[in-house]
Amino acid sequence: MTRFVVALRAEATPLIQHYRMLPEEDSGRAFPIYRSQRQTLVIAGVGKIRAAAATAVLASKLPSNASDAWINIGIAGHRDRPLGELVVAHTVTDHASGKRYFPPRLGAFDLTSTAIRTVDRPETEFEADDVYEMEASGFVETALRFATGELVQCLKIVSDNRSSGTATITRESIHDLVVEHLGAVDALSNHLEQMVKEAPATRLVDASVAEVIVGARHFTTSQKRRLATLLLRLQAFDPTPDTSGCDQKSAAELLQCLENRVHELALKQQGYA
Amino acid sequence: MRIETIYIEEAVRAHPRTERILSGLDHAVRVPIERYGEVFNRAQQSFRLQKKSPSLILAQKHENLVLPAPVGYGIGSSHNYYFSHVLNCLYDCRYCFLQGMYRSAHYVVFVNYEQMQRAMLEAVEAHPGEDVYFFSGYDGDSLVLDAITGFVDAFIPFASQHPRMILELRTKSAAIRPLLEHDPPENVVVAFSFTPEAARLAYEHGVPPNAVRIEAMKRLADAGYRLGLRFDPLLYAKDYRDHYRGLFESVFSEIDVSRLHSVSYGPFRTPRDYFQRMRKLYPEEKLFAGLPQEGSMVSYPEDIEREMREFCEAELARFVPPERFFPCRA
Ligand code: SF4
Repeated sequence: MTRFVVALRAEATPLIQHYRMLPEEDSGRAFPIYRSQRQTLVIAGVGKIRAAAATAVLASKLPSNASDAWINIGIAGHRDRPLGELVVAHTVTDHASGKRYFPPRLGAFDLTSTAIRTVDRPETEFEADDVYEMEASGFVETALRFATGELVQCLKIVSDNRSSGTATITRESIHDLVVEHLGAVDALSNHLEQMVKEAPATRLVDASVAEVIVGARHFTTSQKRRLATLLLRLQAFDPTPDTSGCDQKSAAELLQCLENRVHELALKQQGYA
Repeated sequence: MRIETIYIEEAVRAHPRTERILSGLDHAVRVPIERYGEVFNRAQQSFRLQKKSPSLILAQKHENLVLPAPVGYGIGSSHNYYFSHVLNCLYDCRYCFLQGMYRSAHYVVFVNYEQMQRAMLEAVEAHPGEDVYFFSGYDGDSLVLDAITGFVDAFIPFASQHPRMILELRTKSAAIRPLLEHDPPENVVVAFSFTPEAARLAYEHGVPPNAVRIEAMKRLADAGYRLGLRFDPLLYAKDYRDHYRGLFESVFSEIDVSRLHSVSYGPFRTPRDYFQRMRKLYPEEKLFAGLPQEGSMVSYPEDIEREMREFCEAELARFVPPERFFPCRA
């Protein structure tokens, strides 16, 4: 799944339409949430604090999976990059604190990558050769609590520069800028989802199997952890491990029995394959 | 391998080695950083995802340029050090401890080789009149990234000027062309690590076939290089005897034992916390499932390990004279 965080409704509308997202009931007025089967989106409002809060709200309203991709999309300014150019951040600097993030680039996105600077007020001077905007640092810092850095990316579309200031930006022009780049957004989202598919996150032990085994016995926290590990090891050799015969009375005896079972399986089945 | 992004520490931006590396990677995006720790090994990174497309980081090593080698790493000598000009590896061996040690799969190249060399000389001077061993290839293969690092061109001529320094380059690569461009110094050992071909196929992703590397060894031997063989780690399979017998035969039928500086083997050993991270990356991996976790080091159960050691020692003794054989006692 891809989770989008955008500041403005005009940025959101083309994505909502493109992905046929519907409003999430009870998402409240502060941070409206939309969703389809493979995408969700939250409208954060302007500024890094709102971006951070909206990111957290999106993660908690629709519990996030470690393999979800998180993308912040929005308009931005640069001293001389052409209007309408789409860039992906290789560096996000929070101008006020100086804190920097380096969203890792997985493979070759066919996108210009550049440094992005998050400022607290709209920028007109463009002192650094960075793309200026107002949300990315809040978004990245928060999204990193829910996803690995490779899956947290910022896309910015240049809407103003030294020769064309913010006065000419309208709702319609923002809408058009996003529409123009829906193909690239799709490509990035698919690319990240594909990467995750090829390198899946940790498989979990089937909780019901563990429950049956635990039964009425008392397991300490560390014994529960060891049980989960042993079940994973057993499952590597046999997806539906046979644990019969390990119904010893105490948790410690049971764990030892499972350990022996893995050992036997490894001896008999381990091959170079 | 195509590097898409290069992070460059400001302090080494103007270093001649940085310039040379960058000149060969024109297409890559260059990102300035202060210290490599800003990018490398941060929380919330996925080694497994990054391994699909690692970036390059050019940095300076400030301390621990040369370190005492871990117990069991040496080959009979008493002064053993290791040094790392590179962190991480192009290959992707499923048992590699690097994936448990680091959260990042990016390649870090420390470009200040001259400072590393000074530290090596200091270590040599600390042991007057004795040979001092230096191992490269602990934090990543010594040769496989040589087209980027230029390590061979910097360290082979250096070693040749300091005969008390024995330099071992440990590798699984067959990229030996840079070595062939130098006169082989007597104090350089190119040590090749092998597991049986079936294990290479299953676990050593990206590593060239054994036959290709044996051929590379022959060419180095013909050129006059001294060679090492490292059967490390020993990997268990129910039919491991057949596989290891086949491996030893294929190696020793091709390699002239008189060109061998040393032969050793090493049982599988990984610190427990690294192992736990490795297993988390590949929970479905059978290789890990057969390894119990007791104590601070993860290894095969004692009975399996002992049996494998005894078998390999006996088999190797058929080919290798005792003065060149260094069974691991760790
Ligand atoms: S060649 Fe060595 S350093 Fe490289 S991945 Fe394999 S074990 Fe690790």
